[in-house]
Amino acid sequence: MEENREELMEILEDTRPELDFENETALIDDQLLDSFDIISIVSEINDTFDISINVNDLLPENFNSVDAILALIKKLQEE
Amino acid sequence: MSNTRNILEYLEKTARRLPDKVAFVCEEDRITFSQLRRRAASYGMQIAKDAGFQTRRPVCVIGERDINALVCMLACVYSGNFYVLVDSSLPRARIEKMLEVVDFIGAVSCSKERYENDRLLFSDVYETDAGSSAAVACTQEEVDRFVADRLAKSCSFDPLYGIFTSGTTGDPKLVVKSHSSLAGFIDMFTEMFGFEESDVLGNQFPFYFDASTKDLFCCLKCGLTVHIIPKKYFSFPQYLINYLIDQKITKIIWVPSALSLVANTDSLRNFGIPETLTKVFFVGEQMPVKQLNYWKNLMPQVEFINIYGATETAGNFLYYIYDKILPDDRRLPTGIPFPDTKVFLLKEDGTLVQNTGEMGEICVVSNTLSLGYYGKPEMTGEVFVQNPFSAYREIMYKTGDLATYDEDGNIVWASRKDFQIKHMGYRIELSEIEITLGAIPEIGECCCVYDEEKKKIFFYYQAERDLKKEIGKQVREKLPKYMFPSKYILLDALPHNANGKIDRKKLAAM
Repeated sequence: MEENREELMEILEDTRPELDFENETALIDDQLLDSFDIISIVSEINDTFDISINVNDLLPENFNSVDAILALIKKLQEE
Repeated sequence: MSNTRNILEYLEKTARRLPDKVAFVCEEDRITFSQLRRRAASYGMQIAKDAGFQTRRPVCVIGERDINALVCMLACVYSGNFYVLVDSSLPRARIEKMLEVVDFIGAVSCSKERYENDRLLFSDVYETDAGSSAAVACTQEEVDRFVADRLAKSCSFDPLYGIFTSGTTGDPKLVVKSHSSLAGFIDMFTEMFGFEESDVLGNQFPFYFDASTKDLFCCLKCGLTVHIIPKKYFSFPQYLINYLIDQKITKIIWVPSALSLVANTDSLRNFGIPETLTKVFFVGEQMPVKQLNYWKNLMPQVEFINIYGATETAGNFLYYIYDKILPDDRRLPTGIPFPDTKVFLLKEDGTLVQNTGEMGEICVVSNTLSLGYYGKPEMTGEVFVQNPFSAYREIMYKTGDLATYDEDGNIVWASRKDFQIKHMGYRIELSEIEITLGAIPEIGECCCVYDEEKKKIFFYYQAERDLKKEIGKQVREKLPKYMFPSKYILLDALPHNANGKIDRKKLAAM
């Protein structure tokens, strides 16, 4: 899990280096990430973790915080 | 011509007829027609006092895509002045620049994060909560008297609103539109496409983008409800489709990219068909036929309508009803003129395009032309010119867009004059490459950018995997050699600007 977090943080910080991902809990609701960011991040996550986030998982609540994204990755890795 | 002299007559009538009907819904927030009228009129009176009862002057509204911004926009109109909405999320420096280039008599800040500028800010009219001081400072009777007086003194050619458009020089220009041009367009548009009280609109365009005025003024005129769909839903197609279904949306006027998102994610199959939809309009950029066919095939009972206009005109002046299915690699026709409108294609040699396939600049003569660029008579005179084919005073607007006629007499948009590039001695429409290569089934969105310095065409596309081979094959089979892009660049997504259009500047900087 910790390993996932590190890799995910790297992806997020590469996409939007100016955001404080550790502490933000409303990345989508506060419109910090736009659709361009989200699609880039999804694609990076898919490649890095060898999972496939499909359109059914493309929900705001799965992307509002680092913990939410980690939970989604974990769920898909276990499937 | 419309017999509406002031656009506020729409709201005055509707608020009397349907006082308790909901006009706008924005997440948890909603406002009825009578609340909207009461708030806007009383803040309008306050603005008028603050402005020393000046009229026909620009007032800046710094706001978001929410109900507060709508109230403040209409309040400026009630004050006898015209509004210019500035997006509060823009960088401060950009807002300051906009405040500098126009001699605003004042500004109203109504976003959650208040923008402060002592020089410009009016007194507390921006407190748009029901119990604000401005609302209680005057009685209903005083407000009614004020409104009656304002309407009696107004002229149909008074300015209603201004909208910033980027100039080629980099300085924003302010296009100003009159009450009569907007009312004329809205009366025609609502009648042609059957907008009714029972309609429910799903708004996508931000209010500082011109296409949103259709949502706003169709609502005020017809007494229909507009849902301001949260911006984030346009990143999450499941939310978007559920919203359309749950709120029983009947008509939408969207940017093509938003419709493409639904098509590219197969969301109508994944999340369901919004059965209540009757009409889908798209405007602002070229709609790709492949994605349009996706919608049309799954929702054959819906009418799909391409509409085209310019910021320099009120509303639109060309339309095309998509009733016969075209092949995926065809360019969607822009269409035929609205009633009471003359449109023609002017060639560079000053003659009119007569034959199919010949290209010319789209020019329009109509009662819905704007009043031109605020404080810039020379710039206005360059594009609003005397119609050379008319022996009396008749002003036409030159759009800067190039187009041809197809066999059926439809005008078919080709490109911006500025996008027409000269490459290896040939004139090239970048959009032609985009349409040809965009027809490859696996490609989602795509865009061509020309690097003037390196003399190279770059093709950016969005797909699940690298399609170098497929693109190469299509290029060889369908395009002349001088149109071959020098590089195909696979992206996870194409960047979009605030209006939802593909951001060519950002791509060029990549």
